[in-house]
Amino acid sequence: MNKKWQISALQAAMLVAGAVSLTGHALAVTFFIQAGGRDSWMAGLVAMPIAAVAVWSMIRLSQFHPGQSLVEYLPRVLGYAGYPVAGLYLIYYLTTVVFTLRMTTDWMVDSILMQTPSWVLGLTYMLAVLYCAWMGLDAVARVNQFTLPLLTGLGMLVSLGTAQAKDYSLLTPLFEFGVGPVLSTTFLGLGYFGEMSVLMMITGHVFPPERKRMLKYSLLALLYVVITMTGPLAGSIATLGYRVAEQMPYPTFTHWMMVSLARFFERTDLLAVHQWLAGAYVRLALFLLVAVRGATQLFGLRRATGSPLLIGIGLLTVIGAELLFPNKPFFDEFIRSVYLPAGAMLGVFVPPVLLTVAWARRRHRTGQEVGRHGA
Amino acid sequence: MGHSPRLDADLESTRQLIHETISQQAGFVTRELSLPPQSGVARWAVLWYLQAQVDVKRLETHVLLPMLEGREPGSLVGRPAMTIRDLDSASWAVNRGHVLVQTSDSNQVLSLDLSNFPFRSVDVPKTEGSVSGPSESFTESLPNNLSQIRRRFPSPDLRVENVFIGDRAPIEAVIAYKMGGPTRKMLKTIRERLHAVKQDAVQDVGQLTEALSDIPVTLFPTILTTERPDVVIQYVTGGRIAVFLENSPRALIMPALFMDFFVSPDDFYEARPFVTFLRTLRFLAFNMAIPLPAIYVSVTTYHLQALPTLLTLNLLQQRQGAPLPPPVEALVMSLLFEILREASVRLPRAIGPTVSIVGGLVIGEAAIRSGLTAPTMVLVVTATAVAAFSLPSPTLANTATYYRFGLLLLASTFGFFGLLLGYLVVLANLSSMSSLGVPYTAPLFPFQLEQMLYALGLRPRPPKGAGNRPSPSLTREAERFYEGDAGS
Amino acid sequence: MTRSFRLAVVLLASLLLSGCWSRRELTDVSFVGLIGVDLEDDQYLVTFNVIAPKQAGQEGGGASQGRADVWSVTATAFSLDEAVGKANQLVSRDITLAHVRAIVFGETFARKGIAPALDFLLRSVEVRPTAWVTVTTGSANNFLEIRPRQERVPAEGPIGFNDLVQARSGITPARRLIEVANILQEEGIDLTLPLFRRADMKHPNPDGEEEAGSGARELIYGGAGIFRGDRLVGWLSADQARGALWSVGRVSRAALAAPCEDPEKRAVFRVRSSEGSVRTTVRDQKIEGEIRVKVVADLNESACSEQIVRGGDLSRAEEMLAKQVRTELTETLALLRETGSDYLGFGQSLYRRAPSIFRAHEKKWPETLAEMPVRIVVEAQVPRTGQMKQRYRAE
Repeated sequence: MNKKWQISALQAAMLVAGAVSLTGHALAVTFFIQAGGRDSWMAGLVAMPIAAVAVWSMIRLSQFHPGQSLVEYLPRVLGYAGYPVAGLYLIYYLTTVVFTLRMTTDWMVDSILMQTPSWVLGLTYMLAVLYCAWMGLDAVARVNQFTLPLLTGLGMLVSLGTAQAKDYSLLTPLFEFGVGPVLSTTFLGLGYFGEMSVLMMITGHVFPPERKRMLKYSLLALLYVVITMTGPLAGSIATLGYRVAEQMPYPTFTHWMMVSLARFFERTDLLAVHQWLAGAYVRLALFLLVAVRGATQLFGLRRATGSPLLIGIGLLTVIGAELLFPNKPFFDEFIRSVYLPAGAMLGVFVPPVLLTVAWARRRHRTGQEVGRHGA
Repeated sequence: MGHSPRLDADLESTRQLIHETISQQAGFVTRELSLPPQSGVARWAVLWYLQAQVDVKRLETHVLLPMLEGREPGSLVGRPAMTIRDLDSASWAVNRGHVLVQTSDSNQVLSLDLSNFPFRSVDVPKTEGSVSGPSESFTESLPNNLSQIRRRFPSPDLRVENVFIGDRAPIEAVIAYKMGGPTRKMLKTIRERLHAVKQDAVQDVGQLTEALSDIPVTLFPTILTTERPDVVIQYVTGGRIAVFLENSPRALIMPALFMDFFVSPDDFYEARPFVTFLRTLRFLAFNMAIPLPAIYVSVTTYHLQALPTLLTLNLLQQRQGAPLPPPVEALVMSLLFEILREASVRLPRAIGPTVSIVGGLVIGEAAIRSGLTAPTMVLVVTATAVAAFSLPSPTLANTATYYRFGLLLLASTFGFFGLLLGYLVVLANLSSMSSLGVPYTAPLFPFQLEQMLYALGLRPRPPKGAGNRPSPSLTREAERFYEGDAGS
Repeated sequence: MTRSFRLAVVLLASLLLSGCWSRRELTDVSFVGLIGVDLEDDQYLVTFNVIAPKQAGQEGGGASQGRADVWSVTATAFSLDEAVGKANQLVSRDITLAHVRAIVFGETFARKGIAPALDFLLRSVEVRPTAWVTVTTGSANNFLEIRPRQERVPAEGPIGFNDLVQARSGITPARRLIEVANILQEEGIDLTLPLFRRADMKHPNPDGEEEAGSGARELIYGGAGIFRGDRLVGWLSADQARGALWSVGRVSRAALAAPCEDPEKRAVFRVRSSEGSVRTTVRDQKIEGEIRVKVVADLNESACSEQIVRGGDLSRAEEMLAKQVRTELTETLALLRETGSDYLGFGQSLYRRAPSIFRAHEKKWPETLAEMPVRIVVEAQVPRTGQMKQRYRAE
């Protein structure tokens, strides 16, 4: 095993928390509010138990296949059907990279650097991401260990800074339109939690492999992910009102525009740049690494080809982010009706199924062995 | 040592060999001595040495006279005699002030250490000055340096090992550590790395840093350098390894982590609350020294909404008619400052201050008056410079300079986006580094509370682990590093 | 690794050297402090208050640090962004709205509805969502000529606007852009915006002559405008505007003058803090409103002939205070019923409690408002009486 790929249980959980939570507090907020309106903030809490089962399944699965990644053990669990499924996962992770990159450049062009061509932003950002990814999972995990507490701290700062402007009565009345909106947001929320399936790709690299601790930390990561979704959602609705918020592509960014620090930095949207870029940095690096590592495993490539592949795929995602989506509404629609549902499928519904299959196979096998012994 | 001709024949052949080779050097002395006969057989001896390298007086009183009285040369000098087996060693020994002796009835060439090199006496530390605490520094004499270490840490736990490094001109290096401090694997790694040094005539420990680092070329220092014995003891008792080198007045300390470069020698002797304050201050200074000009540039050229209106108007007024756009202005001013710094470092101490006055005050003031630059720009550049100066480690200050220019460039193109990009790359760079397998940024991230408290001076001693290792958790990280190595 | 790394560096360097696309230097832009929006022949008449530092030499070089020049640029267009474009042709540098403090709507514009203007203001990334929104009687164009004298620098008026609104926020329903957008979309509540007016005053210098261009055009607070939907429908006087604030508990620092037994005389209370709530409940199919206010105020002046503080007994003072608050609330309420603008949010309260009942009444809410009984409960406390225990008497 490569030392550049070893991380501790805590690092793994923080990595997942850091990489996934960006979706919940920045990228997908607008989709959640649009789906659930005023009640959307409850979705995370509703989805959490379901996601917890998925996370538990992921950890159990990795326990059955120590030191292996999802792509490696899928064929063992599903037989030949495992290869296409593994391929689906890889495509999903790559889509996550493309989605994040596109959303980031879109946002930069919409809000901060209006005149800069988005491919320039995407390319430079991807180069920085590639540098980190090149250094291996360990480096990504450590970067995350620095940025995650900082992100959390700044996030709390903005929630305190807008406390004055918040009116939580804007969250009432609850369930005016029944539970429908909550449920549809819950589905999207599950799609967001589905990104936690990246856990299955990295648990094999956790050293020492203490599973109890891994499970505990992963559930804490899930909790973090839920909180960072619910807080900003409820916050945006309480500050902006859900009708204004649902029309905004980046409600949490607007949130930042309302904070001023001690009357010196009048607009803290620059700190929002930090929030977004630092969060997306770890996220892109992780998902890219995982996708490339998965590809080398799936196609049985030598490990040495991993690095050129990393750069190649990284640059391809830039092109993908530029060219795949002709305009923003199309992109939004893709995320809402393809990406997030796919995440819910692959990340939340598939792992328990996999676990059941793996379990059944195991029992079958041990049963046979016992039978043979008996005979 | 190579395949040089062997010196294990009788005196005549040795004499012949030496005569043909090393005796051609200037100042080389070959001296023949008739010894009192032993059991009727006539004996004589030949001595070879370099005139300037040996203490002639001691040679006469301690070697020549006793030998004439019939005593064996092997036990004449306090320092143990060595047997020389080949020509290269002979040359090495002669150059280092040894006297080679062979008697007519022996096939062995002995070398007696009669060196007497003038060394600088113990002086006040030059670059690591401190207000409190001892003010001795190392000298170029290795024995002297080691004696300082032993005197200050007279413990059976102190281990001193030596390693000769280099191929044809070996120089002695010494590693010193506390038993139970560094892990066995750290020691093994450092020994291997020292053995692997093939460079000859290494003059200073500074030349070893590349060979000893985990990653050969880094902008951040991963090895601590010090000229103070007390600092070495502080680290050695804390479980680090010190590396000394002959002729070098400095010692290397490994593993050295990011946070260690914010420690000044004074910190060990000052009241702790104050130390905490100072370290926090230095940490802030470092974080200021890198991005400040870049922030200024991005705020004045890209993000005009960020500052309060009145301040913005003030800046605008300053910038009316300024010929250079802010990025170029910042670049020029920063470069100008670096040149100024370089100039004052090179100049003798007496003129140094003059340069800083002329450069800093006169040029700065004139630049503002002539409208070439905005006062705020000068303020930013100087504040950055002062922040960099407040760092205890000059290497770290240099690191800050590199990154400052890098960030400035990025911020000039992309504003805050570029600034953030640069910061993330620095972070990734830091995160990929290690020193002897310990994660470079260790107590900060991966976060270790107790270590962090110690690093901030909030804890008097490093957290207790097995022995007094860097810390239990740090050691575990390092173990992980090596385990990984073994497994791959 | 090194080769591709080098490649990356070269790529990055070429990117860096090739351009600074979004660059906009300080000296490339002109900052706008206030935006005034009026209506003129069905078009927007937009006034931009441009701020710039006084040029060096104009007023003694270095001494003029921080001094600002302010002037107005006016453009007529069918949309706001167009107006920005037209105004750009009237100033030498690009207009930026990043430092806009407040948006002022003129009366005629506000009466036609302010919502069309909000689209641009919310969409623009330059305009802060925290910018203040106010209305003025007459035209905003005229209003933007304010030059408050007391600001640190005479011409700094528009910059000081921020502080001014904030300082007055205890007595006026100060609204930020994002709040306005929010309230306009909320069910069962109508908008009020603070009313600021320009007042021309003469500031003679010590010699008794009026200084030329001394900026004697002050900004004064004059109450609030009330809206139905996004249209201005009426004005509240300063006291009535405070009445609207009671119900949300935002009154602070305001001075209340309560009539004594002799209605010609007053006792003045300085409000320390207040809490308030509006509740709408349904009892036996009937909608009832309730306003609860809790106010804590110090006695600041007593001009009454009677003792309002008797020994340790402050109940008389508290009674007077409560009565005054109730009077203000009653007046406000009357106006609310008259205009049909539910700016106290009775509808909102009902909506949050029972959305279906509100939906049923939504269509004819003004009528419901006019009929429904409203209970006013005021709880007053006077904990302090200043430096005097009792009323000062000359005899």
